[in-house]
Amino acid sequence: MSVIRLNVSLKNYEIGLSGAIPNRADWSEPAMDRGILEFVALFSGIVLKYGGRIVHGCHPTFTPVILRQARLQAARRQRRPITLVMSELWAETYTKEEIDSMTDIAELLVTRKVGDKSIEDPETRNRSLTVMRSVLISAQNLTVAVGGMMHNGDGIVPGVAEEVAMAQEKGLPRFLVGGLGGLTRKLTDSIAPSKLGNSLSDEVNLTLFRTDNVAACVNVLFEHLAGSESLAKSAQPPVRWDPEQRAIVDQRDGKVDDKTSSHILRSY
Amino acid sequence: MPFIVEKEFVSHGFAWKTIDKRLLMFESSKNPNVRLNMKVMSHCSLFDQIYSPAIKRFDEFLKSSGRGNFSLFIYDGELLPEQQLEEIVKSHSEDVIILHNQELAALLDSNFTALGASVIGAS
Repeated sequence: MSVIRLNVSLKNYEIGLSGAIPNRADWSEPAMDRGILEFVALFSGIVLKYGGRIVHGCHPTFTPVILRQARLQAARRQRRPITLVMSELWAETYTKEEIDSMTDIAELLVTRKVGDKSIEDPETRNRSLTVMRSVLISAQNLTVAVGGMMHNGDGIVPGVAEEVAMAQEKGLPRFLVGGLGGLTRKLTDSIAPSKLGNSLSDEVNLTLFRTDNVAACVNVLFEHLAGSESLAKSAQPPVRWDPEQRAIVDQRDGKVDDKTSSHILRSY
Repeated sequence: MPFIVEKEFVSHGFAWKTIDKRLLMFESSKNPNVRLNMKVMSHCSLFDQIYSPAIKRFDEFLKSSGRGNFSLFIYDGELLPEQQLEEIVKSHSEDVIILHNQELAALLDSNFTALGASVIGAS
C-alpha cells in the first residue's frame, strides 16, 4: 500500500492569514513579493490539504493565490474551505461575475461601509476596515501574519497591525512571519515572542521573525499545527462566527453577539 | 533539497548516508532500542513535479537495493493535489510514501505513526 498524505488533521483550525504585498518603495530586497506569495501558496496549500480552513480579508494580492490552493487541495469538501471578508466599500464595485468567481470555493461576508465618502478618504477607509476586521477576527481561531503594507504617513491604518492587535485582544494565538518583510517585520521589533500565545519557544518564534527561508517558515508552522496540543487548546475562542446561524455567537451560552454581527450586511 | 531532508532526518536522531549521489538516493537509519533497527530509503526529487521516470527509477532502485522499513519519495515546489498523487500511485508497483518536503517533519515527529490508515491501494 502506498501513502500520499499523513494521518494528521487540522480540521479544528480556521487560520486567519493577515497580510499583503508591500508597496514596491518599501521592499527591503529585490523580488520581495515572490517570497511572500510562495509562503502564502505553500502554507495555505498544506493547511487546506489537511482539513484546515483559511480566513482572509480579501486583499487582491493574496486572494487569487489562496483560492487557487483551495481549488487544488480542498475542492471536494462539504463546507467551502475559505472564508473571505470584504467591506462594502470595495464589494459595491464588484460585478456579480467577480463575486461568483470567489464564492464557488469561498464563503464571503460583506461588512458595512462606515462613512459616506470613497476609498480615497482615509477616515471612511479606516473606519470601514476596522468594522471589517472585527468580523474577520471573529471568523478565525489563530492568526498568521506575513508581509503587509506599511502605509507610512498616508493616514491609513496598516491592516496587519490592526488585525494582530485585535487577535491579541481576543486571546488568539499569533504567528509573525517577519523574515519575509513588510509591516510584519516591523511588528517583530515591538512584540516579544513570549507574548504571542502560540506555544512556540522564543527561539523558534525568533526564527520566524528573521528567516527569509519560505520552506523553513512553513515547516515550523505545519509541524506545530500538526503536533501541538497546547496550541489546539488555546485556539478555541468562545465567541466566533457560526456559519449555520450566519452570526457571531458565544459558544458558551449560544447568545448572538449582536454588535459585531450587525456589521455583516450579507453573506454568500 | 537533499540538504533540507538530511537536516530533518539528522535532527530527529537518524544517521544519514548517501547511497547514490547521482540518482539522489539516500538511507537514514536509527536504533531506538536494541531490538529495533529502523531504516528509511529516500529519493529526493530534483523536479518540481513528480516526474514519472524518476519514480520508476526509484521503484527499480528499491528492488535492487533492498527495502527499508519505509520508502520515501520526497518532492519540492508546489504542493500537488491529492487526485494527481492518486493517479501517480496507481501507475507504480512499489509501495512508497510520496510527500512534499514540508510534510516530512510532521512524519518524523510522529515516529512514522502519522502514516496511520492514510494509505491507498497500489499493489
